[in-house]
Amino acid sequence: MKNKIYQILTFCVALSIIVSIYMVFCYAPIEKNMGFVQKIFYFHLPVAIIPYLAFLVTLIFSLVYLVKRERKWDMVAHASAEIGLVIDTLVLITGPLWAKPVWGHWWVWEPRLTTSFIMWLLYVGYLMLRHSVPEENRRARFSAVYGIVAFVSVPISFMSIRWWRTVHPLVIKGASIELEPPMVLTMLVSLFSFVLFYYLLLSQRVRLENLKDEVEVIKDEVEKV
Amino acid sequence: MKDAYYVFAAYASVWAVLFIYVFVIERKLSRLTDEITVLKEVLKKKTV
Repeated sequence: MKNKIYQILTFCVALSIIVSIYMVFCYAPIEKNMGFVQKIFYFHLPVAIIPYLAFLVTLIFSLVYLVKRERKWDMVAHASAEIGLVIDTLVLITGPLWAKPVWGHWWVWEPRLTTSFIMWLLYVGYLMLRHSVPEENRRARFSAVYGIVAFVSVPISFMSIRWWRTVHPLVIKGASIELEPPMVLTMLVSLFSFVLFYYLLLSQRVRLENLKDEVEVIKDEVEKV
Repeated sequence: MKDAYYVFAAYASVWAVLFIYVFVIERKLSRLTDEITVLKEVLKKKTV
């Protein structure tokens, strides 16, 4: 049953990605000021939102772990932080690729880029912390506390373009989006495909941790017999 | 269309990184599944 759900989910992810790529290049019009390079936005924005979501999941499951002290919650927090970090790395790659032709510089130390980089470093630290503590319960407890504290960087990064003067574009202002309807639709389809992809990755990453535990349990049984 | 290089580089890097990550996870899953199968067989032989 689980395999069937996984296959259906994988199919939906693949389909939504194909549809979003088609919409980016064949449906969404070319933006007047930036030209063709604006197409990076349709992937840059979703890959910028997914780490926020992933780190929020890490925050929630870290809190749940501290309350319940069950390993399964720590697994989800860990898995989500790792996926969030991988996707956040893509933000730091696609951002400069958009900035170079538009701003004339690969990187500018302005509020959004700086806070995003600090956020990325904090979650690198989260994974380094996990690797540096060998004892399981201590590792989970320390990581949960760190995962909660590190989340402070997420609203700061998100709000940075609203709080400080910056050259970074602000696409969503309150309830309004400064884009043409086909561009908004393309962006939403792309975002939907990345959310699905994130969920697929999370389920597989948690499954991986479960299998690691299962191996340890069977190894113990083999040694006892 | 000079900017097309940047667009191509952005999309290629996104899919390359995600593909590598998925590949690594799937390889680890496959290795662990095989290990569990072997361990279960060993356990079965020992208990019989």
